Amino acid sequence: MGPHVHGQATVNVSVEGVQVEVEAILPGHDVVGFERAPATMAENKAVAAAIGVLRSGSWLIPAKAAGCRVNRVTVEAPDPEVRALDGHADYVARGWLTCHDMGQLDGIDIGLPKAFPSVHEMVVDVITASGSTRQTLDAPAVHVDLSP
Amino acid sequence: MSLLYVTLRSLSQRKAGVALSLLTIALSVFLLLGVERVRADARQGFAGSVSGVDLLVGARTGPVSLLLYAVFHVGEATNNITWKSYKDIAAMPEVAWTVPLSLGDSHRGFRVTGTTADFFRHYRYGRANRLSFADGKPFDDLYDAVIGSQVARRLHYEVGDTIVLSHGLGGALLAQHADKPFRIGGVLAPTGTPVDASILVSLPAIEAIHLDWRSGVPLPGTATTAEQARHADLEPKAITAALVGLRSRLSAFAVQRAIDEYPEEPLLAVLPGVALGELWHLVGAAENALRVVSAMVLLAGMSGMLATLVGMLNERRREMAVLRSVGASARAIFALLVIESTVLTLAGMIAGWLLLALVTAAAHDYLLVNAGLVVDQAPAPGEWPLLGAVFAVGVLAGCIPGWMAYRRSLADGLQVRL
Repeated sequence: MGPHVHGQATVNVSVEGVQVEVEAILPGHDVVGFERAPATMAENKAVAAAIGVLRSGSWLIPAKAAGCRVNRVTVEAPDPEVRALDGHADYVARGWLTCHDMGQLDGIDIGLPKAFPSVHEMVVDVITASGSTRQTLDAPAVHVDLSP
Repeated sequence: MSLLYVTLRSLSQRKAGVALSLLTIALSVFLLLGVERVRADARQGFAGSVSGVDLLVGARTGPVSLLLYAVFHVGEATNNITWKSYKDIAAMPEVAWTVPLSLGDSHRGFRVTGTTADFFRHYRYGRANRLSFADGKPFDDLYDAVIGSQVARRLHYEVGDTIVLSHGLGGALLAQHADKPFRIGGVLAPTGTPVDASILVSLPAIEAIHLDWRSGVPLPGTATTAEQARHADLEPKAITAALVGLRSRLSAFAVQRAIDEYPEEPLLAVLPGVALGELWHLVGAAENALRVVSAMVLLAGMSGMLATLVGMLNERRREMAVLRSVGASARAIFALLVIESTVLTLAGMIAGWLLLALVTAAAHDYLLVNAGLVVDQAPAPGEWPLLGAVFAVGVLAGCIPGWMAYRRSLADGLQVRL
């Protein structure tokens, strides 16, 4: 899963043919403010709201001209019954997109810092037909370059 | 009479001075764009050292360390991957192909890589270029070796020559695999990548030459001949690293995770481009040095151009005075000098650009073979802003003598000095 650093989201973007897959791994601390089982009604609501935001796919903003559609988004919330050895917990959101015009897909905005303001940095690994790169984005930057 | 016409006529009257100015600007532009192109191409070449490979797999270490020893042959692997783990990775449904790499031996300072014929099929460099043979073909006999272009050039080897590999980095006579010599079966064309300095043999060959060796030394009293070795079990026990190609890039991160979490031994899978980026970040100071050289070249070139223009103005005080006396306004004099400087700059830029095109075309093969540098014929994206800067400085450079001429009185050029 990579290192667990509060304030840092790990994002993986892979592009194959007309398909784009985005995987975002966020520390629970940045999603809901805690990394244990929710203890109060308010904390339960916060978890549900965060999962709702991630599942909506609104944080996936591909270049308009590419005519992309978000097909599916899945969210894995930390299991309150399972405590990680290091006491940390991650939320993992995965989105699958299909794009009409891949030639126009020169980038995708990952709007996580806007949805979760305590995300200060995103480490984005990208793999496309032209190879793999790492892009480190400091908030408020959200644009991941996908141009060849 | 338009100012441009007057400018061109004026320039044609001062051929020597104009030629000198043109030469100064052309050389500055040539150097400036040349440095930028070499910088961009060095970076491109570095990033293209290994392309078309989705994952690079080795024993658990740092991504840069894995890249350094597996691709650049710098340093040593801290650990190997067992053959079983390699087979398990190759058998994953998402994996399209794998190429094993076994490092550790050498020949006269060049590293030996044990691999399979798939290396020649799948290895890509630069913009998805395939390896090609300058002579010969991939190994098909146990004792065949394929050498990179640099090895062939430095050691004057050709197809058919016989070589002896050294154990480890060689040196000691004892550490030679002299009982099992190799025949050079192929010489690769230059690539500008570490492959140029490699000697490639088959994985079974690596096993064969180590049949009677334990812990890096030959076992006393055992001597399997080269011929006997052909019939021995030559399946490798371990390899150093593996190149992995996937059926779909969409599975890259899942496969990477699966390899990182492989339960039987600690492994590491890295995206080559990500590791190359990290490594470039470490050696990026060299790139910044080239940028500084670019800036100095620009400064020196423009200063030279300015000095030439101002110097020429001094010789032309009388010409300016005559123009003023026949009715040219001070503004027209200013414009004349700015136009002159602009025309000179443009002509110098074109000449410099053409000179660079000629030199890159002529030196392309020489640089590839001798410096391992693939210099692109096409301009690097960073060259256009530089050309814009040269043009702007050229126009501004014309403003200085223009302003000086503007301020001068009519009498200045006509005055008789005693």
